[in-house]
Amino acid sequence: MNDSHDSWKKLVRAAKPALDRDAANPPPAPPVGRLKRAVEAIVLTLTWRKWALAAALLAAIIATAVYFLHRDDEPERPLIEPEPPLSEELP
Amino acid sequence: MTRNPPQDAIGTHPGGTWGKACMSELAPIAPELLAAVARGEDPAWEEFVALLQPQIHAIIRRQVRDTRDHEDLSQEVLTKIFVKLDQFAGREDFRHWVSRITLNTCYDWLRKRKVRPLSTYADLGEEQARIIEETTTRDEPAENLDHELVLETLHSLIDTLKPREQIVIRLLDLEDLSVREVCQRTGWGASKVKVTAMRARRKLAALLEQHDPDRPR
Repeated sequence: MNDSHDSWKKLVRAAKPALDRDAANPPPAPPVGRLKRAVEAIVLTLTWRKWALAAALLAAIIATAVYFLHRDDEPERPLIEPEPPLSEELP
Repeated sequence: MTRNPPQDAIGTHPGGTWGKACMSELAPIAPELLAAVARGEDPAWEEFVALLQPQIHAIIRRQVRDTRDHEDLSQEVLTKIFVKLDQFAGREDFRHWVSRITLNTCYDWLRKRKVRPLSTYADLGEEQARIIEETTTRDEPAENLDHELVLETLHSLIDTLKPREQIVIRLLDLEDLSVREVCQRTGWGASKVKVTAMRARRKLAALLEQHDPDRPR
């Protein structure tokens, strides 16, 4: 196992010049303007989504409240309807 | 919206180096700039992106090899930073905080990807197998060695590890960071980093052992 650990270390050591070269000459990063615009668009989408969710929740709460208020306003019906008077015309 | 961190907490680099050369001379982020960004001032936001982009890009480039994803990841990191800016307590270097968000975004990306293209030594290309043999059987690297190919081979081997192991081994072995620096940049505990590194090196050693020419078959 130690030999294999040494093998790993040797590989890392052999790759050092390439790592140093890569660090010294990094490839060009994406343009700042494009990145800024993209992030702004994402943040705007997230903001809209957040507000849309809040609005939907608020609407649901209002609808529920209105429903219960209206239901309470309806005149209460007796649980047992009075029986209709018996007809006197019996056979 | 945001708490103003103390002046001395931002923009200092107590750890000194940021790993390799391109991280060592990054401009500090002024608390006034952070406050202006939090207020949504456009010129401040542009300056902020320009200051952070080299750091974010350098970290992503070292952790994620597929260059097609670099721009998307940069956008994701900057979005997270902007959204979480009011959570920055100012107790640490702002650039360490940025580093932590970037590395954790890379970690999530690696976890989602779940592609481990190489699982055994036999999956290595002929050239890569040859370069390993050439490198590991000598005490010193050969003069005409293709260092780029060695680095490519190293990355192929590291790609076989779990995402957390990949990040730790790249930071420790390829960027030459100390355990303390890895903890600062990832937000993971020292024991977790050490155990992860130990497991990763054990796996890599087992993979390399498969190719040991002196190994009994």
